[in-house]
Amino acid sequence: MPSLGNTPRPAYVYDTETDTWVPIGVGAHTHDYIPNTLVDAKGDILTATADNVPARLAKGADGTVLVSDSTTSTGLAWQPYGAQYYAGKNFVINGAFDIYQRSSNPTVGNTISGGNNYSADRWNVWNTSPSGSIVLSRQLSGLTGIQYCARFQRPAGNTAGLNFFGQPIETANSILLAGKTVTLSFYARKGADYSDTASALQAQVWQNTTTDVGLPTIEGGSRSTAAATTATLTTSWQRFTCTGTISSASTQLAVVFYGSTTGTAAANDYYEITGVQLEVGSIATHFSRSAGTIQGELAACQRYYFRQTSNSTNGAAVPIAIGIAGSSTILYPIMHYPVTMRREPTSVDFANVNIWQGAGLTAITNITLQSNSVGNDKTLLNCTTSGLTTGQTYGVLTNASGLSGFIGLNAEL
Amino acid sequence: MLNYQTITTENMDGTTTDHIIIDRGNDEFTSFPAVDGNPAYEAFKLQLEAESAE
Repeated sequence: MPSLGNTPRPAYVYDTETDTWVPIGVGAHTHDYIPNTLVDAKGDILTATADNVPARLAKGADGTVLVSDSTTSTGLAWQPYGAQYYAGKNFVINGAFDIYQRSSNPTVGNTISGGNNYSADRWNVWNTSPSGSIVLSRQLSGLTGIQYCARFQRPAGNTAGLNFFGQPIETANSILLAGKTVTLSFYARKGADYSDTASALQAQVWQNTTTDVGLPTIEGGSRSTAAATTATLTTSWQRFTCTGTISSASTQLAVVFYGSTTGTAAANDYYEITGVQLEVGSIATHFSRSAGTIQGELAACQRYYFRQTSNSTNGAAVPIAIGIAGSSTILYPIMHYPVTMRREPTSVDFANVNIWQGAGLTAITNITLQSNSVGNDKTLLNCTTSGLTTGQTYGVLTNASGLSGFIGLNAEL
Repeated sequence: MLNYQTITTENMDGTTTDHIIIDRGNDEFTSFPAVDGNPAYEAFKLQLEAESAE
């Protein structure tokens, strides 16, 4: 008598060799599966809205991250990277032009006539035409989340040629990016008379094997462009990005902007930029100050340049330093820095400062660094004035006319 | 065009150093040692060259 398998099946076949009815087929049952049609596009994520209820979550916007969020149906949500403002992400210092020590009135800014000069902190204007003139100023941006922008303007009537505006990055920071993919992002718009015929603004990341030099030197020699974009400007803000890979041999980078302005400048021949950010990766994330906070950004800038000056609430005779008279005409003040500088300062800026010995002010006519007595956290200055008594102590004060008095020490690239 | 003068100061060790003082207008000045390798001095020399070539 043949045996009968005891598993219920739709059918059985008889095996003569073993004299057994062997069950075949699959009995009644159900399948739980996720259909292909649940996903619709690149980046879709399969998740759930409840027990045994699968769901689709579409990819978030570029640069966002996935976080738990119990208020949503899936318990998940995309949001901008949690720590939007943190030190070290952005390799461009003062990318939103918050710090502008070199002008007592940043709205008016600096007029730069020829050569290579700094304006807003860490920002280098390189005017390749010696007779050319550029006005670099800081304006309110009107952008949500970014207070200021830089305005790079050819003054009316100017015929200057190629002008670069950029930031050379110190070697100690540049080498962190060697061999990495980086993304440059920035906001830009133009003035009504911007004279580049295509309304274009070139934005580039330069790389070279130089060490701690400014734009003109980085540009020379074996310089190459690691990332670049041609931004077509309108009078409204747009965000632009470009991505590239830094050579593993690079020791110095620079972020550079320039337009091919032509002809004689009209009244509004300018472009404005802000939110300049250079970061690791191929996606432009939310703009962050390089140092994360305004306090940190100021300190980061003062590592390259700082200026002791009057301020808007107490413009009269603000103290800067104390010194000892070396003769009837030379005072040696000791100037302490708010932060240790990148290196010992290489130049000093000054305007409208005086000596003081308890009463009255006497103008200082010249100030130089006291060679061989210049450190990276304090320095001795050599001030030329009159009426001193050798060996006596004097104060160095700004004058009493508001914002015009200052001493600035420069350790820039 | 650059408006500048050169002055000489005495260092603490008795040696002397020349300094360039550039008049930037509006009572503002910049000075730096006229020493090769000083970035400010090197930039100054480049600008003088550019001006003479123009």
